[in-house]
Amino acid sequence: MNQSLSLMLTGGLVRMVQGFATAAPTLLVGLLIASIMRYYLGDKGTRRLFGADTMRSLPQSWLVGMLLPVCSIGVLPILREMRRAGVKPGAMSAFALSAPLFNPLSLLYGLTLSRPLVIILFAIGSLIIVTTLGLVWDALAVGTAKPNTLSWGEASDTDATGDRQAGTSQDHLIGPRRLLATLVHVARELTGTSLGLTMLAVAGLGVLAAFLPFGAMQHSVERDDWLAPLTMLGVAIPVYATPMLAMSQLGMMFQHANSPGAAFTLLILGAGLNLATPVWFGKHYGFKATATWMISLVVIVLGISYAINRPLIPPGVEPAGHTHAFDVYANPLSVYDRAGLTTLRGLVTKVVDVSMMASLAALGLLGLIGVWLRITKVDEDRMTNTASARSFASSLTSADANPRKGFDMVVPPSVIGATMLAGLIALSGVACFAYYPSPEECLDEIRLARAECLSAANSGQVDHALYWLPVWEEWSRRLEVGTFLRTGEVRPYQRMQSYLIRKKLELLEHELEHDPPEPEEIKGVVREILSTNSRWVRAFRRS
Amino acid sequence: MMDSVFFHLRRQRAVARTSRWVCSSVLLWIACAGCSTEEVPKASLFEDDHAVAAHWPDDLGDLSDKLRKRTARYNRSSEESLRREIQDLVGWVGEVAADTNLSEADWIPLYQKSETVSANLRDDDGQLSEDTQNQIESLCRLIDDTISRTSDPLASVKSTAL
Repeated sequence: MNQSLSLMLTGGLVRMVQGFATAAPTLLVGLLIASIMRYYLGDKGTRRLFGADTMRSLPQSWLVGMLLPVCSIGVLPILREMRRAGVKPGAMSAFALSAPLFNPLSLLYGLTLSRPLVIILFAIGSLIIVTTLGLVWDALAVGTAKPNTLSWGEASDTDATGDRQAGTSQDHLIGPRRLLATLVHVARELTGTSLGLTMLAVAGLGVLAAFLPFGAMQHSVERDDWLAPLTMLGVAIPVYATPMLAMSQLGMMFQHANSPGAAFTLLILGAGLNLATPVWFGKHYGFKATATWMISLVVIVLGISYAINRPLIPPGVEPAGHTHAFDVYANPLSVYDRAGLTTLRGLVTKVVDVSMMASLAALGLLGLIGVWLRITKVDEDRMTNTASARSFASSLTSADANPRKGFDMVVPPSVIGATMLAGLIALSGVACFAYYPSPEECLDEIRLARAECLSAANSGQVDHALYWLPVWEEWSRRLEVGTFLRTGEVRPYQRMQSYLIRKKLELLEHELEHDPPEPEEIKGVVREILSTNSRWVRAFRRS
Repeated sequence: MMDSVFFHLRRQRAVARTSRWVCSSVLLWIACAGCSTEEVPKASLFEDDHAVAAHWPDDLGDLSDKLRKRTARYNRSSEESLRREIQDLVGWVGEVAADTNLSEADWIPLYQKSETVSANLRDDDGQLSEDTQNQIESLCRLIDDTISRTSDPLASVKSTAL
């Protein structure tokens, strides 16, 4: 299928904008975590968080990565801060790879896949990979790393710290001045190196979409295709995927009986890395060492992928012969579409939800502040240098300080920082309950989506039906996780009915997208869905 | 001092180069997008329906029937393709049964039995041992009993293959 140049460019641009919007929430979280490390945890606290020089530093970094809700773009400002704090390169590599793979939300989502054991095995596989690579990276980076030696591009961003530069290295900012310094840091990061790295990361999506025509991967990575993990390797490295996207793709791959090895490759290299990750490592630790690290990573991932490819094939699942799981990496425009601003706007707004809009608005505001700070040359150094003596922790313990009584005590910044990070983790735990509500609430939402989707399908309103169909499908997943969170189990019958309803919804999607439409076929599928739906709803109402 | 001036000059040049590159790219995109305004006929790119295996059963009764026939044929020919089809059919029991009006209580024994037989088939190492064949026959009998026990004739309605 030949694509015009305009189609390639528009498709690439759409995917880049979609990627940026998708990354917005986790980029915001990543910037916040980086600032907490700098102004609250401090260098020592940050090193301790990642296991310092102990043997447990690699698994500990993997665990911290699993708990913090960031993606492979959100991890980049944190990596910069880790390096500044002098964290070991191996621990950085372990964190960089594991943080984007799973977070509490995506892990729970993964447990609704055909065999929850697969996700647990994938998590263990990722631990093996990050530990091995961390050891390799520590060995490689010993001779090349120059902790706290900054390149010119970073000089203005990272020279400044919350610590007072002259003499009193233990001193640090406190109170409103520290909050202001945090804001300055986030705003300047957003408009500096982190923005450049983010653009590089989403550029990978643009390049892929420009060169992969619409639906080009629909017949790729079948379970009997021995080249499937290798094919996925070619796509996964430039890909940027959020943990939730990667997990939903894994779900589709298992539902369609695609290659489990390719699914593992996609998870580790697609969600775990983006184009900016090796570039950043290369810039700071040398491109030769980074190339060795990348080759080791690819060899280990491919080795595990081929080892699990046959044993993890889900039994009883019939191969569908094709999949739409990877349509998001190909050009969103077919040769029948017109490349233009209206199409571009329509495709972008289709993927943007409330959380993304709120995050984009916050990033926009912070970006404007960052630009203003850069124009007026206000940086973190200035926050420290122009601060009064009262804005430093030393003022609380000096001879002329007011005496402190009762609960009016000086709380060390590391305690505040650790509390903030623990709060962030606890918040993502709470978010799980909000994102996956109770079965009753899910069923109410499903009733609405079902009515809209099926009435539109029966009356020939294809676009309306196609809008509500994925909403229904998404709520079917949330229903399972919501049930699991509240009852501690999803019964095999419930799991099977959920599988069936999603399978039939996909059949309806196919029927709706046929051109010209076949109303009788659509009505037949709608009837089938209604029967399955009543069994499915009954299975969850009883619990 | 001189170093600082050169640094700033280099940086300004780099910014100017980047700006020129970005502007050219945007202009190129606008030019290309503007050129392709002709209408094209809409056609579906979703013609690929899900593949359905030739041995996918019509209903639970058909599944049991297909299992028995293939087991009998395997005993005569020992064809690997037949063993694979038997493995598929056993794996589909849970899905096919769940797509009927069987209650959860009636579905669970079928599902558990098929899981056990599937595990044995995987452990048989490319063979179909006598013990596994007996288990398959026992599964078929369970299916037949379940169909005959249920008062609802829809219990053996056609299952959906995608």
